[in-house]
Amino acid sequence: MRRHDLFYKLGVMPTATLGTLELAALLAVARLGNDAYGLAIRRDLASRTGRDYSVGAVYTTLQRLEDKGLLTSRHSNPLPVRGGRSRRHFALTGAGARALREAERHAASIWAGVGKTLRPRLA
Amino acid sequence: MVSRPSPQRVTASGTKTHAAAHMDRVLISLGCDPALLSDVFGDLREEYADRSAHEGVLAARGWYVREIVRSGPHVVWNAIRNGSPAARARLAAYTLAAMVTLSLITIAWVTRNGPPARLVAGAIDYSDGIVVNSLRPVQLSMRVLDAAGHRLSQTDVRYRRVSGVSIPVSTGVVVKCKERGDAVVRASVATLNKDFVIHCEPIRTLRSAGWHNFVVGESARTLSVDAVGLDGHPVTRIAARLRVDDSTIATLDGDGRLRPLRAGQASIDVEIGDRVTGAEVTVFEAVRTFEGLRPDQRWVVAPIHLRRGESLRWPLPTGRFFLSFSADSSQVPTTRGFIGLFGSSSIAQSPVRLTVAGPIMCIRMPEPKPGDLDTHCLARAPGATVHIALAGPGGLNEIVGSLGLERQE
Repeated sequence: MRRHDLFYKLGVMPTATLGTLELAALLAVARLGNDAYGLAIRRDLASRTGRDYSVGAVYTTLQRLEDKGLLTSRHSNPLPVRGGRSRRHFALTGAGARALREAERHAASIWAGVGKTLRPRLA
Repeated sequence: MVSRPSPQRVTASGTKTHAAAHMDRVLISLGCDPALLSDVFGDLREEYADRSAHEGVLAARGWYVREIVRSGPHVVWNAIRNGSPAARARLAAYTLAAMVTLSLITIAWVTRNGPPARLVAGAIDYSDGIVVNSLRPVQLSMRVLDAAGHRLSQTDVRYRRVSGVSIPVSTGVVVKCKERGDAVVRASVATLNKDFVIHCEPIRTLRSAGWHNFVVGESARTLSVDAVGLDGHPVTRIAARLRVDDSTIATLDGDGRLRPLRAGQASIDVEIGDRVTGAEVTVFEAVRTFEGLRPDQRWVVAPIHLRRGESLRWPLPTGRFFLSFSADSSQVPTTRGFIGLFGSSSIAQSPVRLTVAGPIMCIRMPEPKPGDLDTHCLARAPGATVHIALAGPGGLNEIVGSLGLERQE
């Protein structure tokens, strides 16, 4: 089974406050670290989920996460490759990290008691 | 609400293009968040450059357009959420203008005319030819259509007779049939040619299609007409125009089949070539007896089944009416024939004897066919009755038929 299948079917269930794409975007930002800007996040989401989210959808989600205080952002210097526009780099806030841990606990509690044979091995 | 830092911008003197700057200004004026626009267009530009290098410019441009379309709703939603009332109004106006423009382009595209592709004779495409039943010159209408079926206003269609009977064909495709026979006429427009057959079947005499009686719910029957050609032989190939004056009583389909709908009478105009005739249709309501008829029940028919020695006595309504019996139960009695001779109170003929009694007088009419009866009666006051009995010894043991009543206003 491919990693993104596991990601969707078993690993990451939306919490009460985070939608599936929001949770996936938070995890992408956590994974990418200093390289977490829009294009890189979108590529990471595509490779892990198998879904090609539009640029507008990804940025709307990232902006919503920033509004919730789960992400923070800063702009780089303008780049010629972006037509003179700057990159916007995202980073997890403390609240964002707590939300991810909460989501993980939530997923674990849902899977508890299912048994080792069915339990997914999250890479 | 978390405050977002404004993106750093580069002026036109930098690498940012004039077109991009203009697009930014338009979208910002519609209420879009400048930071979101900078992020979205920056990412698109960066990935476009990457795809151009790896997949080629064409593929990259296709991807770019697709992404713009996919991201559009998100940008619009962002503008709706963040924009001022004035910006929202501008957005609504832009959206409306875009929709109208798109609709107009779509309509223009769908309704555009192409080159002539098809010639159609008459209102419909006569694949098996055009029937002309008139002795007078007839103007045929030819339509020039493009491949999509749009009618072209082109009028320079040329015609000439190719073969068959001699019929004069004018440039305006006016034909005159002087004898029975077929002719092939070729119509030409641009590089398009179409041969069509004209069936000349001029009619000299057209006889009335007569009376058609139905019961409500009965299946449709073909309306027959009696047309005779110049040579005295019946004409069977006919292009008729039929019209029912009250289509709530009966309707005619394209094959000339008459279908009854409700009780009543209707007239049918039959126009074939330059001849006109008519037909009448009466639709009866089926009842079990004549007892308890309402005033609005003007056309009724009741089944009759009598064995030797049996009889029926039914009340009759006041006023004028036709009373008719048909020995065939599958047919509605033919009412309203031609007045023949005066009858007495006894109007019977074998095999059924009809007798009226009370304040009533009847005029008997000729039998439409042997065994049938047709009378015209006037009941001056309530109390009139009709007595129906099977005729005396030597006749049939039983009779099955129907008795029709048609009240006149």
